[in-house]
Amino acid sequence: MTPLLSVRNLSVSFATPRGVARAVDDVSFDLLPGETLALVGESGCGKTVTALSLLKLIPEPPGRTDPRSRVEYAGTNVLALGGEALRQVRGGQIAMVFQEPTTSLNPVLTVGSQIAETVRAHRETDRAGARERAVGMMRLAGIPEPEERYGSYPHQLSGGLKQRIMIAIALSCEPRILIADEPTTALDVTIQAQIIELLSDLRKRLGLAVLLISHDLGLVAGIADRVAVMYAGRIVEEATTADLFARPRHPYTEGLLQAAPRVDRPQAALAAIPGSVPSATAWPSGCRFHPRCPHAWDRCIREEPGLLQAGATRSSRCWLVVEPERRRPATTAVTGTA
Amino acid sequence: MDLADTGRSVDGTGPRRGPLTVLRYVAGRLLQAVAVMFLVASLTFVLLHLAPGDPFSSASESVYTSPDVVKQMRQNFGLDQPIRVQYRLYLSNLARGNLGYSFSQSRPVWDAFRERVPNTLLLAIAALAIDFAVGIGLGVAQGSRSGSRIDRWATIATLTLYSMPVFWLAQVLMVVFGEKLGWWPTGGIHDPVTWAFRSPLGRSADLLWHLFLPALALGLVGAAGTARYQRAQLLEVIQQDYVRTARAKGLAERVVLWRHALRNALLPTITLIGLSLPALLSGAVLVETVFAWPGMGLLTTDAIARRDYPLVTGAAVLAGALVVLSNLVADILAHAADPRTRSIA
Ligand SMILES: Nc1ncnc2c1ncn2[C@@H]1O[C@H](COP(=O)(O)OP(=O)(O)OP(=O)(O)O)[C@@H](O)[C@H]1O
Ligand code: SF4
Ligand SMILES: [Mg+2]
Repeated sequence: MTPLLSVRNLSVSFATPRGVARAVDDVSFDLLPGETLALVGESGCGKTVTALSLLKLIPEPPGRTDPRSRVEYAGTNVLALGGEALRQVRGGQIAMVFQEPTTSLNPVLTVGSQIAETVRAHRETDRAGARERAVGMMRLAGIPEPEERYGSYPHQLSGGLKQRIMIAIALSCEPRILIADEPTTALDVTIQAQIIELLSDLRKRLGLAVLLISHDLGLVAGIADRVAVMYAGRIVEEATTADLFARPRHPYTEGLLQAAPRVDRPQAALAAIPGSVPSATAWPSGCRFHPRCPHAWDRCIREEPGLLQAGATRSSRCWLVVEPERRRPATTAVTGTA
Repeated sequence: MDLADTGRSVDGTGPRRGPLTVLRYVAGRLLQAVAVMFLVASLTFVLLHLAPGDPFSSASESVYTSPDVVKQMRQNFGLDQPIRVQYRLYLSNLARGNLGYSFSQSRPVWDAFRERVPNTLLLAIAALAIDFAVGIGLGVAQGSRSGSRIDRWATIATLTLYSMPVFWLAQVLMVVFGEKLGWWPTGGIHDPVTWAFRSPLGRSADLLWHLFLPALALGLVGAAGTARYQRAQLLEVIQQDYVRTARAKGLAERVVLWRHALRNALLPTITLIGLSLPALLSGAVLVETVFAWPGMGLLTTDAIARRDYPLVTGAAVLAGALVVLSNLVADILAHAADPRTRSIA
């Protein structure tokens, strides 16, 4: 199948007082029609920057997208677009839902008008038509009494309803791709499940391709077809969801899996990956995970592995793929899993 | 999809405010205004009486006025009474809207005010218009292209203007554009010679002609502050998530700026209009003296020099009333413009 969206060598850096932060470094991935690809990783590893740069939403300066980066959609490089052509893609072909519904909606405009203006930005329709479509989208997004809610202001709605409004905005012009950046992180646990259910339901109904960003592997397990794991500005492992959960091929993924709360394991057994994500202004030498990796040896410190083929449909940025005998026994690996 | 399930997440609407709450708010603010007015009136009274002398002290030194006449006049105006009695009399008169009799003008204070207040209001409103038209325009122009050359030059210009004393700027404008270049008149409110022969339209033109420099002097200093404030507001709003959402939706950049960013960036500026009135009034006093603009400022400085108590206290009370009222209006405006505080009746 030819990919719908093809990201190649995406690199984004920021000028900061402490030097250049290479937030996203040479990231490549494909999104196939109708599939759900999850992008997971800890806080600060570059997920949001990746998502924003796909639609050229990174403020420049301080941001800078490497000119060799390409985001291929429908035969064109989105990163080379500007003005009207870029506007058409944003919201019309590729739409986004953000992490914070509360700050992502304009506080002084009614939620209905914020959907309707999106419709009018992409379609030839009058006010009444846009309003009608907006109400329809609110209904589709599971908002009860959409007619009455149309004139509400964001502060009058709960977080869950606001996120549904964001989803209604995103899907109002029938985009082919939905980028959802941690769409449930800011919500209560019970609401989280509802929003995820809504997204997976709409995806099937509308035939959307979804890039779902999350720091929670457990959350994406149920709906993602494939998972790309990000660490320190790079994709470190990519595999189908089933393969990834059955047998992670990167020590970082292993750590994430062990850190994820699961029903089949008591909460006490939760293990975190030791240490924290290093600063984007100074990534470690060699494999960027080596200061936190239980298996690291001298090669890892000197040389950075490429994305190595670890099976027919999977890859991992880890020397263990070619030198599996270097793996240390599980007891000395990540603690707390005994 | 299970809609029954989503029903539970609807914790519905936020705080609703009925019309009664709004009334109570306005009533509370009015009460506050009355209290402030009382304080202003009392303070002015006390300050003026602390200073040595009274309206007839210069007369009593004069050889042309007999001491008996001075004594009689002091008696007539109640100035021989103890301060306490004077104060009570003054307050009760004030409460009935009686501002008293102006010694220096030889007519009721109200009559003098009626003639001068419109002139000052005209000057203040024109200055306010310049202040906000130039200030908001410049601030938005800067904020929407921050870091550009225009922005940098405008920053230097506004900082320079901002640090200028009003009376100095007024004098510079008068000397340069009035005396040297002769483009605008150096003072007065209309041309004393041609005024009588002019048509209503011609009179308006003449009035505007005279208004321009004083209003500019008074407005520009405010405009510099407004521009800096507006620029900062816009820069902050542009970084907000909802502006990013507006872009991500595929709205044109023009719509993103005007509909999404500017609406939010203008809200705090509305409040600024009310808050800028005190500075405007005190600035007007200075500008009026430079340009001989026959307004309240000129009247009051004159009255201060002559220890005309009733007029000075009246002017202070009036200015206080104006400031309190404008703050109230600005608050209510800002309240109404922001849906987060607006009542949903
Ligand atoms: N505007 C910016 N200026 C400077 N640095 C930035 C900026 N935006 C992002 N970064 C840097 O880029 C890196 C990646 O940030 P990003 O927001 O993409 O992380 P994330 O994976 O989305 O994390 P989270 O789970 O917290 O959302 C961070 O180290 C951050 O410091
Ligand atoms: S390359 Fe080395 S340090 Fe990096 S993850 Fe693999 S084993 Fe660990
Ligand atoms: Mg993020």
